Amino acid sequence: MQRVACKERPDWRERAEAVGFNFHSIDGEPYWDERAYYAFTLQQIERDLEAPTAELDQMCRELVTRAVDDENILRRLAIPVPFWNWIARSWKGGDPSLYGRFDFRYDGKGAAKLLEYNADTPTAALETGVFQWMWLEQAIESKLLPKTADQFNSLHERLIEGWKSIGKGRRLHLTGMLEAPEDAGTIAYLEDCARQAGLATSVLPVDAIGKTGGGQYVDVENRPIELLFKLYPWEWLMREEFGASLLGATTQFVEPPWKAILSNKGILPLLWEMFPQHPNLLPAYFDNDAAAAALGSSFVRKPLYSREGANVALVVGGKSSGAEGGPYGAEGFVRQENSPLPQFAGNYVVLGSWFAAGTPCGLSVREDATPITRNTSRFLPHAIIG
Amino acid sequence: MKRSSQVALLLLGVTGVGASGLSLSMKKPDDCVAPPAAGAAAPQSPAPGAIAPQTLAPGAPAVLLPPCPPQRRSAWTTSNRTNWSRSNFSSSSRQSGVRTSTVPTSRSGSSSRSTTRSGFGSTGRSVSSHSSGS
Repeated sequence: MQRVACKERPDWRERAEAVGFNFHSIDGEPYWDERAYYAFTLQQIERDLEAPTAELDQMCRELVTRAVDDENILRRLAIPVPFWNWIARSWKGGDPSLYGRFDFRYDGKGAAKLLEYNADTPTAALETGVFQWMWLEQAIESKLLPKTADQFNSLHERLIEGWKSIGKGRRLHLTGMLEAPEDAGTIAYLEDCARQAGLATSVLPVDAIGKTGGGQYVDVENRPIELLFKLYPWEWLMREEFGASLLGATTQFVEPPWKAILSNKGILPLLWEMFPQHPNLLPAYFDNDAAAAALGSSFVRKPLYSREGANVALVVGGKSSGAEGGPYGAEGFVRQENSPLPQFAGNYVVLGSWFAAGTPCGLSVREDATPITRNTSRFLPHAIIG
Repeated sequence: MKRSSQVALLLLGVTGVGASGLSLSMKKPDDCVAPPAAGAAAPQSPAPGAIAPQTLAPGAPAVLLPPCPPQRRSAWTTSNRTNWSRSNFSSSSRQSGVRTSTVPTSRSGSSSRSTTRSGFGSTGRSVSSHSSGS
């Protein structure tokens, strides 16, 4: 694994916008950054990232199987009691998942370590599946990369495959916070994948979802919502005005309700309990667990519910440093061993390993000047060389 | 993964609804023998979609072939991402936001009942500086 500095394409912004990647810059700073790329060997991809991603997916499924029949686990995850049976039915009924992203600490040498699992509302799919691939093709064309260069990236194909399997010809509604450019871009991309899978689609803001007197969710034209992709966290939906009506809804959701378990940072200590010393896990404990003392006075403290690094704090010698502000933490925290992110040319690096349609299928690389990955952390392309 | 030299993807030039015409065209295996997987103790089945190791039909003359160079697995197929284009944003199927709290239900034979809205989204609005994605 190497960070290779290179010249950016002078017209990459126009190219990005031409494919709908409009959120390539944040506050005037590049989010997409091709002034360097990361080079991996095929062995690093297959042995260190792809295989652990498949194994972690299985481990997570074992965890869900256990959790839905264990009130103690659901309570530790702070999942509201009224939703326990509903989540269990979702799992036992086989509600399908489309995708997720495991975030790893990896430096090209040791085992990749799971930092968190973005199981419910992963973003960065468009830049991973489309624009990163276009970069590879053009990098080869311009001889920046050898002809034999490759990329861990079949996310696009897997998403289409996933929609074919899930959709079964039904109309798909997609919803989220459309005023957020990143969310709108992600939804538009997933909508396109669904259309390529043959589905009819409709997009609507999450607050435009209607509920009939009979408790059925409908779109703005009052069409019943049979199949709904939501880029909106389960923990938010459950606690909002319509939350209680989820229990009687006939709508099928993507991601499914059982992902409410896996999108919770509480899975980090639970996985560590179930698979102690697993090479791809870091020691982790619930904040109020006496066993957390094993981590000493230095660790990473994460809210059970958190996104984009919000409210994540580095605790060093008992003192919190580098805490990111945000609205999360009311439901509790976990502590995870502080395994400092590797630095390449002074940048902290996190890898995102994608899993879609039942297959590990892609890689995204994020860089930041700070050790906590945030929504502004830059996305760099990668290539497999050698 | 993979833009494989073994796999050429023929993308049918279609976009939008029904554009499911991805087609894989596999080149014939080169004249070589797939090497066994490292550490493999027994013959393994090829991965789904992978090119099967060379096998000889009964009675066929044995031919010694050189080992193949490492191959990308065909599961890592390349595709033409130009199939995704901004034009897809302009789909007429997209709907604009509606925040009205009550509109009459006009379908499903329930016109006498009302539809309420804005029951989802309050958390997102309250944390609007943070993406709801991750």
